Amino acid sequence: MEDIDTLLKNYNKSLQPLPHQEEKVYMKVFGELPHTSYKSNNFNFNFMFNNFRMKRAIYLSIIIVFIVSFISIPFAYNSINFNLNKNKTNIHSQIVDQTSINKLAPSYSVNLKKDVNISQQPVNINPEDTKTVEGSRSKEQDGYFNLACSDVESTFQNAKDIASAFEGYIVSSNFNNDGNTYSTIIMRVPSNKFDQSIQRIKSLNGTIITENINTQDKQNHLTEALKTQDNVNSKIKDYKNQLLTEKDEIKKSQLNYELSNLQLQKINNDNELQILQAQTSYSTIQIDMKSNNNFNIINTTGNPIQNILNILKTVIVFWVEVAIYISIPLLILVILFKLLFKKSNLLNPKTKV
Amino acid sequence: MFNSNKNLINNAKKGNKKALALLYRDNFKSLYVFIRSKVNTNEKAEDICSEAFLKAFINLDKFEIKSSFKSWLYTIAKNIVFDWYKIKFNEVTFNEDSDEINNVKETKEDNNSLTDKNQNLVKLIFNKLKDNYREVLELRFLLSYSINETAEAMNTTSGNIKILQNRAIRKAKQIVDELQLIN
Repeated sequence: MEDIDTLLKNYNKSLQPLPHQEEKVYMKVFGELPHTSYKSNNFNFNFMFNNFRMKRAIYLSIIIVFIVSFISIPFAYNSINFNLNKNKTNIHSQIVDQTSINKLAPSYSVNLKKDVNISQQPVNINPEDTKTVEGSRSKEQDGYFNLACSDVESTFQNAKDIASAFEGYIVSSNFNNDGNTYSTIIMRVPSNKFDQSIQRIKSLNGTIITENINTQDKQNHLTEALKTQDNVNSKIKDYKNQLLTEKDEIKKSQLNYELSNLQLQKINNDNELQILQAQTSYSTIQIDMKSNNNFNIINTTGNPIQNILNILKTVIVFWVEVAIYISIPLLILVILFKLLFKKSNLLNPKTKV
Repeated sequence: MFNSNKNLINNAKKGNKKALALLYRDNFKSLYVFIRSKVNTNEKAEDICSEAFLKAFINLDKFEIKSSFKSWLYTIAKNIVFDWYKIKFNEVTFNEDSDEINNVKETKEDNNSLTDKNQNLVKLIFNKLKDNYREVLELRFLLSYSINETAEAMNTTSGNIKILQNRAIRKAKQIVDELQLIN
């Protein structure tokens, strides 16, 4: 059977016309030579799919685009999600920072956000602490850490323990487990134990994604404030003595007026001093913790097979989720279309009821 | 430019030269192969081919878009070839000398152009086959028609065409075996 097939195919091949014969017959039919673009792709109305190479290129590019998008879309989605979450935690941390400052400086009233649980522990300021900082200079220090950890809950507990271990306290803590596990802790530790507590935080289980430590020298501010405090105190003493000795009523009233001004200045100065002492005696540390799954787009390990499996897992999980999310509305749409189709059939006068 | 075959035919009916040229380009090779299998010379095949195209293009208004243009063109070409054979037969009966001369000429050309033994063998097979068997093989292998196109051209179903083609090939093989036995 195959022999006859090949025989007939070979016969067909042997009878194929030569290019000049095609042109000759074209000439007889149309009375002119074919156009120069007669054999080019432009001449063909459906050249893209008649041309084998073009067809192959199009199919290949479609397949490549499909594969690339199939793999990249889940990761793109995850990375967008990750960035959104990151922004969310940053905003959250700003809110918390503001509240902690408010707590420390009650003279400046700023509205507190209700979603933050502020501990009721009082702020004990020991003026001697200002001198315990290295080189006897007072510094304002704060640290921010963004941790990705496998077990957020245990890391959260360990971080809490750090505050008590270094005689510090928790300003606020927040633990969420609404699908994405994340938590935030703001603690204050004595400035002289800031470096030690940072070391302990670094040794916590998890990967540090962001680390931000700020130090600002406040010694000059502090000494100036102390000097003005001394001046104001001595001036107050002087005016009080003058008041006792002064007999002229006009001068007395002037002295009283200046004394009240000085007392006001003293209150302001005391407030400023209190804030400065609070800033320098204790350092603020904020730790944001998130589950590893939220942070790592691909959980890379040393094993390449494991990495491939992780990638596959991410891709499959994403598409399965998409399928689940899409299937229900799609089903509803199909049912709706079917109903509409049935209705339109009923409206058709030709349909037999 | 022309989104579908229907669009192409419509444009050709309106006299669009590009559409006509496209119809010519798409069908020339298969039609030429079919005609060349029927006649002995390239020149005659070219003549019949051009005649078939001209006839088709002139009568394009009569063509119904529902049917295949390929099979319509094939029918036209088949009729022209049949007419040509009729004329040739008359020439043979009225002028034997000229026939002899023609035969000599044709055999010479035959030797020049179709020297391959296989080609002669195929011709023999086609001569010995039944009409419908020959037609199905011509349509499928010379005109490179699909099963559906062949079915349309022969006014049967595609299932019948498959059976017919199978039987035709079997018969052709039988003929080849018989010829080998004789040789």
